[in-house]
Amino acid sequence: MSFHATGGPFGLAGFFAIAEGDGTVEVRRALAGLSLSALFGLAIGARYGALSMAVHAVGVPAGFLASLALSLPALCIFVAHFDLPLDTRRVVHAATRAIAVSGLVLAGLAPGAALLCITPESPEAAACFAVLGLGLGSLCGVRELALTMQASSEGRRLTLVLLLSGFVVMAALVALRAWWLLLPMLGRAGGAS
Amino acid sequence: MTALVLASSYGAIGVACAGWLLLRGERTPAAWVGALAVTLVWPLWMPFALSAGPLPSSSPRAAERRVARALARAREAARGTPREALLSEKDSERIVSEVARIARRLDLVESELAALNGAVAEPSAVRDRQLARLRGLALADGRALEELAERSELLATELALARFGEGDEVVRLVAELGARVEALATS
Amino acid sequence: MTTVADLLRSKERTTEACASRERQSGVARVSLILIALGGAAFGSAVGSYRGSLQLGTSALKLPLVTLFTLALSGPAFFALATAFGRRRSFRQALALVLAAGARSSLVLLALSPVLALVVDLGAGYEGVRWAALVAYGLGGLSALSLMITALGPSRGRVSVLMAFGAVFLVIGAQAAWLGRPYLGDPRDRDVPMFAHGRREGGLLGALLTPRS
Repeated sequence: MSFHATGGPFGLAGFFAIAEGDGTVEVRRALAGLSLSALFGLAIGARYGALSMAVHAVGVPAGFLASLALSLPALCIFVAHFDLPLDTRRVVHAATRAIAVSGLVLAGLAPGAALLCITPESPEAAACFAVLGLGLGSLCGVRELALTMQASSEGRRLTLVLLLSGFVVMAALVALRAWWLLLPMLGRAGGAS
Repeated sequence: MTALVLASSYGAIGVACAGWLLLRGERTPAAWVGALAVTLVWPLWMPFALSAGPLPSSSPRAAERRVARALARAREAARGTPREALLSEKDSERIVSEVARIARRLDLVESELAALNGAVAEPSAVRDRQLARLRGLALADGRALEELAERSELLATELALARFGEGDEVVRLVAELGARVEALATS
Repeated sequence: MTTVADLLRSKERTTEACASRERQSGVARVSLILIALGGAAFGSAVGSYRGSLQLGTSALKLPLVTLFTLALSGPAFFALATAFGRRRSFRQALALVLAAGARSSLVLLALSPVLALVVDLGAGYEGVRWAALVAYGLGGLSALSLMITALGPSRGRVSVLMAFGAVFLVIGAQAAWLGRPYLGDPRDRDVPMFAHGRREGGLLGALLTPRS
């Protein structure tokens, strides 16, 4: 189970390597991150059976996708509007790295999430643990996004920080809303799929 | 899904892992004890059990080539940067020559093993001990080659990342690779 | 024995052993044994509060709960360490987690006689429970010191430790709650093997509800 850092989007180096101008690699990196986040969905849905596991396995990555689909264009527009030294490709690259990191962290949390969502007495407690896990994974992704964009931009730090703050708030709200709709364990207290 | 189903799934996977380990290796009393332990703690032990035994598809020559290629990539990535001094040509040659030495030794050990295994002989305790020692040497050398190849590749990737502002681990990786080569040279 | 001595005396050598592909398996094997031994000894001390059967069941349950917690939180440590820039293999991360668990278990092994003495001197249920928690806290600090060394001084160390610490505590607490009772509720004449089916308000309810 050792990840060989020998390159390629599905090895650790692939997750974190910079790949200039290669859209295929970015897509594969994002898909890898989304697939890993689905493991977390499987774990949290396990409380309510196999069908619920499938629904949550789709819902968790879908929440990330919805959040990025609605927030990322706005970030690209404002980055250009404020003439930051970051082109769209770099912003997209930072976003795919963020997805990869979030997915990796959520996959790592999946075994513990299975325990924490199956065994609590109340469904509300299980839902809380699920939200905490999603929050931790998302925070790690946000950190990766911020570091990647800061490393790629030269100067204009304050502007970048303000833009990123706005982006994070918007993306978080969209993701929460998407997960509320797509994850039955959150949307309906104690509900199965 | 209830906790009971979860526990049953855990146990079933544990039993399957234990069975796989027993089928793969020799069924000594120690192996049975280990299999029982694996039934309980398979998530903690299986990653190590999977890496035990002879390394597959890793011939000595293949490992030599991997190390040489990785070090060439590493030096190319470090060229013209402040990190170039961390991995000089002399250092690379030292590492490659150590890998070549281990690869030659592994070739010899494997030929001896093949000869011993192929010989028609009465079972004897001396022969068993020789076989065990040769297998141990082959395993250790194979693992050493694989480890050096992996470390070299990690270093090459980290130096490539360092060109883009990442690569915080270059100094550590160089030190670890050097230390490992020194340890193997003196062993 | 070298591994055990290194576990206690030298965090740097333990970290190197976990990084070495040849020695990882040995570190893992020794750590698993130490966790089992330390947990069994501490469990015996805890179970001695009720004596007889409870001594044996706690000696069995405590190491299993510890191992179960490590099994569930090991992948989280690998993922968090990787996300914060520590490019190590899964085996290396797991070996580190096991080594930290072993270090903690050795501390518990050392404190088991102290806890047994506390029980023997007639401490009540709450006193013994808090003494056990303090012992676990000390073991945890010992494990934490190894993790701090292993993660190195570069950026993100505190974040990894805080995130993993939170994950480990939550998983460990839930796993421990599932395996209860260890001390034996003083309200029970006969202590059950497991307290499943008993609604106590979850983990927080079980911790905060005073028992006579």
